[in-house]
Parts: sequence; structure tokens; C-alpha cells
Amino acid sequence: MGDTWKAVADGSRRQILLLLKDGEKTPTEIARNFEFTLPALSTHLRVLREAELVGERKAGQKRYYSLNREKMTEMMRFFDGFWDESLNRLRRHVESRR
Amino acid sequence: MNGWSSTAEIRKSVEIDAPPDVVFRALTDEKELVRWMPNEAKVDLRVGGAIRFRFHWAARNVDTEVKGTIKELVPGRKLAYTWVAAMRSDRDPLRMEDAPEALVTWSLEELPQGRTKVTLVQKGFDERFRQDGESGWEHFLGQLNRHSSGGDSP
Repeated sequence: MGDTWKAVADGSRRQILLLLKDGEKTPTEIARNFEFTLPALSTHLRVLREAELVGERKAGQKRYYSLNREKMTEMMRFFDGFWDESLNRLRRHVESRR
Repeated sequence: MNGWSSTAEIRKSVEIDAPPDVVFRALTDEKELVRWMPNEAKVDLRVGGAIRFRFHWAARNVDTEVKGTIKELVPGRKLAYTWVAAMRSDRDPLRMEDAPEALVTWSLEELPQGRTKVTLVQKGFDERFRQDGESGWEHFLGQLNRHSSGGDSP
């Protein structure tokens, strides 16, 4: 399993993810929006795929890349859930001492 | 500020049946902190002082260390510190150490009958995430938020 936060620490990869939120695309379609060479793009896509942020589907000669919504949501909700739980624990801790 | 999107911040509140001074102690005292947040806590309680929290949740495969610096300190009222996960851990599924640095702010508001409203805000990300404008971290989180909530920001 790749490294989620490191994968999105790169501005180009974040732009690729934003592009994919409108639907799956082939590398050629993605490359049209950037100035990357195809080899550079395929490195970015590999990092995103290893981090499980994008999925890959093969159809004949073509590969389609799409956003892994579940993984993105997991990342977004991590801190949200952490602070919900921390505030509850804080309240229980302080109130139990009274 | 360019690219500074409010949708990227997390804001939470809770009301606690205890006065602000008691809550503040729970936020700042090392022995109290470990009762509700990290497993280990070191706090040099002064502006510019260091904080260090160790989180170890075996059940969730999380074992990581958070470091920060106290930016604001008003006893009984306010505490703000930077928050950056510092320890590499293969067991942490989200590898928190690669998350951008955040600013965590606790504000305490005195309510009638000896109660306190506690507000937690996590925001502010480090320069490498902020600088790149349209591809910046906060723009990204904002876009994603709009996306995952079906067009509306929460």
C-alpha cells in the first residue's frame, strides 16, 4: 500500500485527482490538461494508484483511471472523526472529576 | 488571502459542565492530557514552547508522534499550537506524518452556571501546501468538500 498523504502532497497529483472527479479518463485525455510527458504522467498515476487514490480499468488497448471516492473520503474524514472523539473524551474526562 | 478556503478548516464545539479554568487545565496539564487525548504528552507551557504528543491506538493500527509549538496562550481562555505528525510509522494507515502542518486552536467561553463552551478549530497549512494557488492544498480540500457533499459546502 502506498502513501496517501505523500501522494497528495504534490500539486500536479492533486490536479489530476480534481480532473478525475468529473469521471474516468485515459492517460491521453489526462495529459491534454497538463504539460507532462506521458512517462511523467504515468509515474504520477502509479503513485496515485499505489496510494489507492485512483483505480485503473483496462478495456482493450485502453486504460481508464478513476477516483477512489472511498479512499478520498477516508482521508477527508480522518481529522474530523479524530476531533469529534477527542472533544467527547475531553467532556467526559472533565465532568467525571467534578 | 489567495487560496485560503474556509471549507478546509475543521471547527467543532462542545459544552462542558465545568468552569473554563478546569477545562483549561485538562488541555494543558500533561497528566490530564493523557486521560483523554494522547498516550504520552510533553507540554512546555509558554508561547514558543514545544508540545509533543504520542498517539498509540493499537486497535486502529495508529502509532505516531505529533510535535508543535505554542503560538497563543491565554490562561482559561485560549490555547493555540501548530500540529505536525513527526514519526514515521508503517502501521499508520494514513501516514499522518505526511499530512500538512496544521494550526490547532482551543477557545473557551464561560457560560452561565459554571459551564464552558469549548471550540476547537484546525486550520492553516504549511507553505509548501499554501503557495501553489489553484493546485494548493486548501483549494484541493475545498473542491473535494464541495464534491463529496454534492455541490454544497458544509
